[in-house]
Amino acid sequence: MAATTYPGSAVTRRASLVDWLTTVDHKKIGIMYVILAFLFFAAGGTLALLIRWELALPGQQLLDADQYNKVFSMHGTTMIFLFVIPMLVGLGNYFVPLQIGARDMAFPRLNALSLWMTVGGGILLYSSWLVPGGAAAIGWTGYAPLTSTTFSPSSSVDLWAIGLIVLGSASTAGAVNFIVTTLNMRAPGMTMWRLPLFTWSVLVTAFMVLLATPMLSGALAMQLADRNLGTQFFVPESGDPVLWQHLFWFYSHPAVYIMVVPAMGVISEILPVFSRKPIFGYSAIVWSSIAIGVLGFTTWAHHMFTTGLSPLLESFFILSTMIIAVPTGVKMFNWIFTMIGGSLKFDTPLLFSIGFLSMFLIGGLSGVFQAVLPLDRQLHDTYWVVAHFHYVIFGGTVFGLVAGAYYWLPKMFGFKLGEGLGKIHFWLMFIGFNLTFFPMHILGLLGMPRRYFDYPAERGWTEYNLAATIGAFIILLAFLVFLVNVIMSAIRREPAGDDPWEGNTLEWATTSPPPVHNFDRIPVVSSLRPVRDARLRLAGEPVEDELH
Amino acid sequence: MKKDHRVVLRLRRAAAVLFATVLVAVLVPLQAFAAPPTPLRPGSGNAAVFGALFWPILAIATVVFVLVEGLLIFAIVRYRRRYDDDTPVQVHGNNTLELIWTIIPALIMAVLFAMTLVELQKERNTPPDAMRIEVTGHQWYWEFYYPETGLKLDSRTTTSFFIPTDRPVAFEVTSKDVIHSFWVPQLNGKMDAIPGRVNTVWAGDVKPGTYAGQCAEFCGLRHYNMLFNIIAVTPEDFDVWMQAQVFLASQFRPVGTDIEAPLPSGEATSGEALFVAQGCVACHSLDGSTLVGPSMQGMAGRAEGRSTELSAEQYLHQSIVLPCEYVVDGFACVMPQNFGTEKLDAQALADLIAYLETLE
Ligand code: HEC
Ligand code: HEM
Ligand SMILES: [Cu+2]
Repeated sequence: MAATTYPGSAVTRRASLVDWLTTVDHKKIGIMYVILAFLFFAAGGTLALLIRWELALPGQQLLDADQYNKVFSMHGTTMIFLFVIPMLVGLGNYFVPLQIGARDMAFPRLNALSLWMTVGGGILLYSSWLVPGGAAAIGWTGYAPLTSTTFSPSSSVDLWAIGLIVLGSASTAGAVNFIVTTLNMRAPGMTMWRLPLFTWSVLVTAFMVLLATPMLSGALAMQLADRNLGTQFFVPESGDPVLWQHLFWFYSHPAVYIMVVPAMGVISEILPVFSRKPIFGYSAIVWSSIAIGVLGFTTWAHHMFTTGLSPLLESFFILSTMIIAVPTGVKMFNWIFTMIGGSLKFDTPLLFSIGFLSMFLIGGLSGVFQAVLPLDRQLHDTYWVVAHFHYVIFGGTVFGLVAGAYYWLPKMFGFKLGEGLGKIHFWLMFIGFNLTFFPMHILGLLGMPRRYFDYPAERGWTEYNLAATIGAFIILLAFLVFLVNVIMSAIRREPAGDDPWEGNTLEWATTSPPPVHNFDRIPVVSSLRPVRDARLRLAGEPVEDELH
Repeated sequence: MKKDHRVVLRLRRAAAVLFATVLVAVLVPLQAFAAPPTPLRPGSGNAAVFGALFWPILAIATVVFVLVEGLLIFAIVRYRRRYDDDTPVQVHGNNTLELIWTIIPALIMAVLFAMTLVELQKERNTPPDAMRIEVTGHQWYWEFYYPETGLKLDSRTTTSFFIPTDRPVAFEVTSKDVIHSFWVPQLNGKMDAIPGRVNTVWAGDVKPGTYAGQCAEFCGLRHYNMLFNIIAVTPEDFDVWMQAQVFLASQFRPVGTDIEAPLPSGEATSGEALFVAQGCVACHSLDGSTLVGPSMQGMAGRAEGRSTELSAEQYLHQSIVLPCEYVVDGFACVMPQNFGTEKLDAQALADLIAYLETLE
């Protein structure tokens, strides 16, 4: 095994449309997931801008109350189910097999099925704009009994529920696939304790999806039965509308971690590479991910502190919510100490990772306030919460995803992205993001509830809303810069090479883009950073013994 | 003797109404929904809990924030790559450090948990001497019922609901349709109004003042518009207000469903206000668009032609008190049937008709 790189193969051939539609190659499927997610990000982003335009000033701007309610409901539903989750699945699809030195996912056809079901679910959800009465105006949370036929007669609610069931089934199948792939298809020498942290994070996420998503699908099926078959699961008196909230949050709280853990995995890949140091406390990061994965299932009712829980339940959910802050904090320090003592190269992936660290911190801290029940009873369902979860999902996950995009697009397409525009993108997004969402904390403290189409001028909320709207358009600008960057880089096609960043993990051991079968020869792994070892050996430098 | 007594009573009531009117005019500030309704400016002992927890936790959070962002900035400034071949020492971790940053956050959380439980305990039980008010959420208004006097008010016809400052007030919150959330930030946290359940939220040590309230759980089309004010006044003022409200309510005589009943002459401008206050706008637009019911645009013109026996005025009278006698083509009879029996008196009905007759 001395002094070898892991050669890929340069056999490429232009793929036809039919190839793409019928492919079972995890890389093509991954790319299609990413593209799908971006299209829906554009849709969800447009809806976000409509929300912000409407709220910029008191009084009606361009939507009426009914349209506004549809817009924020579809914004939330889109961003979660059609952007963040497919995007993470796409990156996982592309990179998990590469990182573990496999030729594909364990079940390639199931993988293709998941992709096309995701497309179908998206179409179902969006077709609800076309039915009489237009899209569902029920929030992304679809609380009963607002979703009953009495209060929401339009069939768009059925389409919403069916769409989510289809999307949920796609992710459940995908989860099985990720679990089997990671457990069974690892290259020789790739023990669990040498598994790249991104792959670890996808594995933990897959277990969460597998355990949580069926709960959502079941609850949605009950909702559909209530609406169409005359059952009364969530009907007041004969059933219980609060039951819906328990079932929904039993899925949706883990879903929050489903959305952020893989982004944490991306960060855990990028920081060591751009610091030229191993991750600080590999096993602490792994164990904290597992802890988050388990504890994520114990906190759901902290979304229901105002429904009148029993004192015992209240105390339990306060405690469990506070406990989950601990493993999250552990990761934070481990990441920062990965950078400390390193040799930092501020390329765009690192900038966005630093953005993740600094913004996710704020989201984590504001979450602690919400765990304190007397505070939450004031903050719940206000703009404070909107600020909190955007700091987590946008400041955290989206920054992480964009970091991942700058880091991995060169591998996926073989060309480098412009660094100059990348940096402009970062600064615009960082500034725009904070201008949009920081003032929302204050709005929450000033008593502005969320999901309000309009607000009286005398309340003193106007300035903060205006600032948020300006910020939102700066975010738009940031993503336009990104788009221009991708297009210009694609035209320029400056070759990225196999390993543009001095990577550590196996995806950098093959060509960019990798051949259909990923590796000509399946690599043999003897440490946490196989590609670095190979690079050092090639340069004739000593390879120190890694811990694992 | 008896007659004298009645006169005195009537005078007292008239004085009360007058006084209450002045009171409302003085106490309800001109800008009905003033200043941000923030728990950081508490109007009750319960709301003061917010600040008591918020500021210390903010202090802790700020320390953590400065520490972590400080470390991050330190790393960024100190460890930027200076030479292309920089090779830092390959540190894999440090168990002591990692133990420290597991245990310290855990301790902070333990302290927070204790603080939370202590504050929660104080609020746990509604004081037995609290005045009860039953609050019911509807799409899209609040109904307040004061069981001690049997007074029922709702936020379509008034935005001001009074409470006394001499004793705690317990709001018993429920809903008639979807889930709402009753929230007066300066008095206490929010409490969900859930159909089929009653949740209690209370406020003690209330300071005199006007406290804005709103709905905090998305409940459909006009969720943003369920605004009201709680006005806390001295017990004396409260009694005056209450007497006046009870008196006014006792004066109310529903017009009934007899369309032959004579009506006083109507006032179109107050009819216009009633059209909003009585919730007609929820189903009838003025601009030609169809909501639940037909638009009122052009109502004056078509009222005449609807029926051969009825004049325009009689037709409008009938459509409001007996909406199902004549059902407009393409619509179902879903208009509430209690406008005549419960909601409108003769004057209000006349005003509404006068208003509808102006809609060309
Ligand atoms: C829950 C919805 C609803 C509310 C509230 C409501 N209406 Fe109606 N209204 C209807 C519907 C539906 C119709 C058409 C069916 C019918 O004729 O009964 C209608 C019909 C009418 C008509 C006859 C229209 C025509 O073209 O002939 C009048 C007049 C009217 N409403 C007045 C009122 C007034 C005044 C109020 C408020 C005091 C009111 N409505 C409140 C639903 C409503
Ligand atoms: C362009 C950037 C964005 C802006 C300006 C924005 C703005 C907003 C605003 C103002 C609301 C509150 C609407 C209301 O309560 O009336 C909201 C809700 C929401 N947003 Fe965003 N958002 C953005 C991006 C995102 C992203 C990237 C995600 C997730 C990945 C996301 C997820 C959500 C969710 C889940 C809701 C809740 C919807 C609901 O209440 O049902 N948003 N957004
Ligand atoms: Cu409501």
